[in-house]
Amino acid sequence: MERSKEKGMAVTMNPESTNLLEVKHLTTEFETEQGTVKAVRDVSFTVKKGEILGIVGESGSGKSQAMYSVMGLLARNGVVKEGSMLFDGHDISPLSFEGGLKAYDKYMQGVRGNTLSMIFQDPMSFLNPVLNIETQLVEPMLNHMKISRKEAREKAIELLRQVGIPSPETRLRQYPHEFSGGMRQRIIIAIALACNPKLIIADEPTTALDVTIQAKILQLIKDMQRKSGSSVMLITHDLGVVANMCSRIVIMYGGKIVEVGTADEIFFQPHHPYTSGLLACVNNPEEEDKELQPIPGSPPDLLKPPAGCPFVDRCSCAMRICKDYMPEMTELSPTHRCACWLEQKKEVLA
Amino acid sequence: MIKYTLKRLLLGFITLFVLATVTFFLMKAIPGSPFGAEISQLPAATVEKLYAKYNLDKSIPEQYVIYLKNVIRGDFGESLLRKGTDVTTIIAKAAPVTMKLGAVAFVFSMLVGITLGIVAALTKHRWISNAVMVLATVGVSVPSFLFALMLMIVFGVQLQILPIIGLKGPLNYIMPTVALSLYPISMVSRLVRSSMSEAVKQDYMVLARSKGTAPFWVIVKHGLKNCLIPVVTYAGPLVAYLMTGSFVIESLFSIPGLGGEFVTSVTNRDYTLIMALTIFFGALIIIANILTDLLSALIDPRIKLEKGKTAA
Amino acid sequence: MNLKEYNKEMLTREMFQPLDKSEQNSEFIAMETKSFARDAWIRFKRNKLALLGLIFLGIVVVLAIFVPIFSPYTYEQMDMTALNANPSLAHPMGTDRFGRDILVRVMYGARISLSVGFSSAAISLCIGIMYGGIAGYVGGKTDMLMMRIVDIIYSIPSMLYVILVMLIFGSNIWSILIGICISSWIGMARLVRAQVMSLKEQEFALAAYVLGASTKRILFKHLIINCIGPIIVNLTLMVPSAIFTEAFLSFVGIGISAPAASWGTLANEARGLVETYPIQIIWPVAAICLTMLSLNFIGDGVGEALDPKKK
Repeated sequence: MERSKEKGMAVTMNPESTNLLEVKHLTTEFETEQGTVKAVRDVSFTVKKGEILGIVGESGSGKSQAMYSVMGLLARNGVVKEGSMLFDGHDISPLSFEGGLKAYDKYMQGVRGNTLSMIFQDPMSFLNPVLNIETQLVEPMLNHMKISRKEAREKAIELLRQVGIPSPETRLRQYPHEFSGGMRQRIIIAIALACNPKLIIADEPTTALDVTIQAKILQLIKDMQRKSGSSVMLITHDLGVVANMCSRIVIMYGGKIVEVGTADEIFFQPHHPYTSGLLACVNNPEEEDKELQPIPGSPPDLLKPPAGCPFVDRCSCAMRICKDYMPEMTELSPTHRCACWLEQKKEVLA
Repeated sequence: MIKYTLKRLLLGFITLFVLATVTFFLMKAIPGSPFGAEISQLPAATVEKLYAKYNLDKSIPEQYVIYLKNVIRGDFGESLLRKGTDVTTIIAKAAPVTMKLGAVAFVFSMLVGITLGIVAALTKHRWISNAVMVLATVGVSVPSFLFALMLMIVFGVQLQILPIIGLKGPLNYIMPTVALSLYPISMVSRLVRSSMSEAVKQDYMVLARSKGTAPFWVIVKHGLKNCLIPVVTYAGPLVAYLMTGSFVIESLFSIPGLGGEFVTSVTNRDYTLIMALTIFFGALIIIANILTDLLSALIDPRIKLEKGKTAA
Repeated sequence: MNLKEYNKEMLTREMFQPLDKSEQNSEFIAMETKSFARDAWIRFKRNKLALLGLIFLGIVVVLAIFVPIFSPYTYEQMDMTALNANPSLAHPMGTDRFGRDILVRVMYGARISLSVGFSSAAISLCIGIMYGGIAGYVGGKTDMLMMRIVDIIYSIPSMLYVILVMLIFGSNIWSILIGICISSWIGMARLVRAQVMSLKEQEFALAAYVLGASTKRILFKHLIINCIGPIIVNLTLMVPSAIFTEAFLSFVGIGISAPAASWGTLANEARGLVETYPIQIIWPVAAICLTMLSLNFIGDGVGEALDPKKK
């Protein structure tokens, strides 16, 4: 009941709002031979104009699949089951799109790579090995801008220079295997930036890179964001990466959002035991003698997601209620929300 | 690239030289006179003249040197069977026929094979993909000569809608081409199906879609080139297959080509023609292999030609 | 959603008691482990066509061994009272134009085809492992030279070798076998060489060397484990191609010659009688096609079963 009301509200939202992307109750499932994988379960978040939002979670927490759902890039066996998505004042949910799936596909083709683009995880496998850089870089421009091949080429050279690739004129004619990993990631960033997108989704952009290059790539993304004023969603499994980049942070676990807050709130007042657990794994140079604490166990099997809190099996504060009932989001401050029964504990025990 | 090509050509020449040498000594190792049993009935003087004419009176090393010199000049001598006809004339007459049929079969098998493979890889209907795979397995299991025979019986003898002899008109090409192409079509469609279904799973296809490229163009621009790489490398073996396939297809359909000539020369023990044809086939296949490697280097930038790992 | 519905009033103090550690199961084993061979066999069995092929091939092998032994006819024995006879109790597949029993001849052909197929595969296996192993193990200039030789041999189609060999040694099963084996081992040799080269690079070979163990033994052991999959797949493809070569040559009339009977010869003989006695050509054609089909199905099945990527 409540959900459909919200959906209706979302469509009629004020276009002047500061929210660039609004995702509500997103649920995504994959059909596999073993059964249905519930990769994303009832996830809601917003991205404001001009901000960098961090989404943090272990691999398999559903963060990437949530982003693929927004982009409309799910694999063949993946389906958005529920939820509304509003990007730049326009509905982009395949479920409620006006005109049906065909119209949705057509609309998303115009959006992808244009106002909404994505930086991918592995620079080694996301560039086509048999096409040269030029072909791959001018492709989004030729798709979305009314420019000639020559103009696109010039723009491509300019882009490569911006992302820090030396002698772009000659590099343009080379193939991916002639570049190092860091260089390839710069090219992928250039592709994402080609049409001045309003929102860039960066899916673990530094995971596959050497530590020394990671910082440079992050700095590059930050600089680009500042210059263009676009919004960025930075997806990572490393809280350390988002620390100096993001204004707000979303923590995901087992296909669900467990905590949302500003960077300060997440780092200094973590409420969810999983967030605390993640923080215990971050290497902080200021606390040299701190022992790193791994979280025991492994993430839940999303083929059979637990009825209650997904973190129950690994949680050091687990209670009986956690096993059978899913905790609701509790608002701790206007910006800080957390889904954990510990928030209700005091109330009930009091 | 040029350096690599030259290297490959050199290796090709060495291969041809080895082939020429081996065939020469093999022919010499065959017991009995090359002129058959009836030679004993001829007068001694005629025999001597005959031997002198084919340099058979000289020692084997001498014969070998003469033979090599002639081969380099493109002179393969006279046919033993058809007296007075140069082997090169026979080849020059038969080669265009085989080449024409081979070219038609080549294009036909590539076109049909690639189409079937792509359809099988991309179709949403499981039965289409299964049907193509069954066809491909049957295609590699039914020998071309039996398939040709079945075609002849059904369309030539029973229905009488297709001519079964020679290569006069376009209709004559249908049965030999289809018979020759069954096996390569199966191979190509298997290759394309597996490489295409591999290609659509690749991450770079997701990146291409994330650029807002339409699904059809994602396949054409990003999938096709990748999935054609294994097909290109198959081109060399395909030429070899079409050559050996022509042996039986040409005999069956009475086509006056190289394959038919080769089979008759073997049954009639026409040694000069056998040697010349062996070298000719070898040269054709070597050239086809070199072209294949150069082509796959053009289409796949990751191949480093200088290493020269592939076959001659 | 699999959330259980609840309301605020339902929440009790009881529910907020700590959860017993034994009720948490943080580690779980995703899959039961099986031995490689067992796993492969289970996957092979799942492929019905491959299983069917294996059964058919088994039947052909048994028939090929026993039919000629227990049949009252030999493959060249002529029955002048029954020329071109239709199938009957006395001659289950009928007789040919000389009154020879076709069943016995087809089964005799099966012996020839299968022995050509399997022995050429066995010979190629031995030569290939030795040649590839030496080239890969010694490396350097020797390897370079050995591989160039392989390139040269490989660039000529195998059919030409067979024909050349048959010119010298005559039209019999041995020359066909020798001819096929001139080039059939090359795929195997390349495969083994590549495997040996990559094994040599790996740490355990170095470790074994440092410990003073025999590197050869270790290499051999790991080689077998690592290449068994591709080697078997290669073998299953080699058998049908050898059978094809033999049938091809006999059909053209330059292979095994009369009165011996191979499937190719039988098909060739029956060719002339196709309009009057079409049944005679059906037997050898069916024998070749079904055997090739079974072998190819088995090959596909083995390939899939041994491919670690396709779990």
